[in-house]
Amino acid sequence: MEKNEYQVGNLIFVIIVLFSVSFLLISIPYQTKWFDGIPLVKQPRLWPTFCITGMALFSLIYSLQIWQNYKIEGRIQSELKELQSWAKPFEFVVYFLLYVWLVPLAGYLLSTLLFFFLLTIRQGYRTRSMLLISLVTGFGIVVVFKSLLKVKISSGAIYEYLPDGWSTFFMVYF
Amino acid sequence: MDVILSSFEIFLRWDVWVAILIGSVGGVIIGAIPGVGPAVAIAILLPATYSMDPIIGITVLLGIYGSAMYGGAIPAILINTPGTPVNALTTYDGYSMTKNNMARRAITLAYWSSFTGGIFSIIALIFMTSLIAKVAPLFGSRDILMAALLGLILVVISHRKQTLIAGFLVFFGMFISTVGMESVKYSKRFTYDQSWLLSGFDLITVLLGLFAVSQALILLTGNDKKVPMPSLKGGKHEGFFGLIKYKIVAAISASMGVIMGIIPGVGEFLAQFFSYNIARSISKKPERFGKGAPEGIIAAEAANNAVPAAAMIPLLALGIPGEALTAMMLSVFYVHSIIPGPDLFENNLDFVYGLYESLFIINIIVMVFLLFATKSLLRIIQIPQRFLGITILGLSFVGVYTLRNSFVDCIMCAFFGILGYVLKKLDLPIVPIILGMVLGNIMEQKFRASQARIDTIFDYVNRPISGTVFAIIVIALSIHFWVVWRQYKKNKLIH
Repeated sequence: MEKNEYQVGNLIFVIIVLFSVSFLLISIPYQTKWFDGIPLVKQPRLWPTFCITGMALFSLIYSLQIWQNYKIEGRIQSELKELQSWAKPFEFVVYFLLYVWLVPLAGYLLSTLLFFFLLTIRQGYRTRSMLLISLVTGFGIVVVFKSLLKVKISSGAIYEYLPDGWSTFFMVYF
Repeated sequence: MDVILSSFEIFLRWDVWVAILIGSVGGVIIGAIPGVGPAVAIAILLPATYSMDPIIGITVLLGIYGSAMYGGAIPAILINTPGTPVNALTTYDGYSMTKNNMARRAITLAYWSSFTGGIFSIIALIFMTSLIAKVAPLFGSRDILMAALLGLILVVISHRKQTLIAGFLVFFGMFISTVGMESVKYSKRFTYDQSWLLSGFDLITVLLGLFAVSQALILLTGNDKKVPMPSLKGGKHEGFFGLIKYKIVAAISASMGVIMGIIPGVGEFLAQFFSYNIARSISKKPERFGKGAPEGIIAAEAANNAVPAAAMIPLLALGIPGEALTAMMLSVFYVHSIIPGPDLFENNLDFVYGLYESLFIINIIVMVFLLFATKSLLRIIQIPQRFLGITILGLSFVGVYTLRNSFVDCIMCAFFGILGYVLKKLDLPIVPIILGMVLGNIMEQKFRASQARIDTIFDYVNRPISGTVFAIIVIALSIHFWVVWRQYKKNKLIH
């Protein structure tokens, strides 16, 4: 055995890994094709099968190692608590995806300012200076990437409601 | 000689100088902020360079790559928090020196050691390039296949005490590179009839998720730490004189960085680990190591800064990245239509020299910048961690959305962000996934390409290069298993 110290959460992790690998193993015949008359090395099924077999082999030995260590040091309550802590970032993932969804509607500038402002408040920074810094940071990012570097970010549908000159300006630069 | 001279032509352009300046200074700043690091910065900025002239885009990212570790030493020495993961070893002696009121000496020692490592490796490589240019075209499909295999095996066994999970993650990375439409019979693999999976997982999306988004999530769910700032007293050149005193340690460590950098899959960690141990074994006061030994800082910093330039060798000559950052640099080259591999050394040698010269200039600019701007950089360390998380998440959007303006890409990125978050919480490595993804793809292609010349399994290793690489694989595995067996016996005795 390589590592004796048990890290809380490893048991849950290997359970998820074993389920995922089993699912992939079962999926091989349905998710890859076998072509008659083609040599084995050119079969599209060969490489994924090799990879999943490798995953299965390593995950199995790793699971045994984790189980050995868990039996000595682990506690199921700590595992569940750790699992709970893994759910924490989902909140921020939701904010991130809402931000992505909002950009084509409200435009990059407005969405970014909102994202920075609201997330700064959510993180507990309530001072006027911190809120101002967050808005300036958001604005700076938009200016650097969209206005100066001209990265490809779809313009907001909201810009179509602006007067002609402003509409084009915002579509190009913000 | 003509090639070297013609490679200097790019430095007649003012925009190349601006790119070098932005990349090198930006890299130092990014490196100095704990929790960001060059991987996050390159992943975010890579899509932003799509619209740039290739040499400009590459130079900016190369600047970040070559200079971030300089900046990473600052928080490692002053607040015991490495700016980039590879500066972790610097905390041992650096922070101890800070506690002994020798912060300025430790910092300048780290700068000069980094500079020595960086410059040494670039000069060594400029001299080695003509040799590499002769050897690289000799690499055929089987040789590259074996070199990629060596890279993967070294990545796994270099994660000491974590080889099993590293092995699993390498295979996982290899697996996700197979998802989508394959290129021989154009059949679908593991798409589960989802059209968005047809094009597979984009490397940049995975990189951004695993490095940038996961780091943002770690910072956002953590707490801000109060950072006490030590005062910097003493002269700017204290470190230089310290380095002169331990010049042999610096030379050995820089050489070790070059050797380890060239071997794919090894990288900074092993380079500085070996250098540190050698420095301790040749020191007259080995007991000082970990308690403020200047040689400790020199060994760690000279070794890790010698790696970036050296790691460009397998990348440029064979198209094989040795670690996560060079895997990102590979994407940078592909995006800008520069295909690393034996042909690059045959047809674009001036470009290769240009890269080394850029790295050379980057090192000089960084050194000058650091000698005069360290006090200003200290403020950067004090940026609240959770606010940094918001900024990284905001910047990650730019990185992933600009690829294809796709909501699905962002969902994939978020998925890999959560995976990276869990792996980081469990203290498990991320790099094997990236290398598995990149090298797995190369291996599948080369495996198929080499079939025309394969009758028996021994044909894979009957060429001089592939045979030599295979011998290295066997030796590396034998050493690894021997070490594991010895450790097992030792543990058994203790228990």
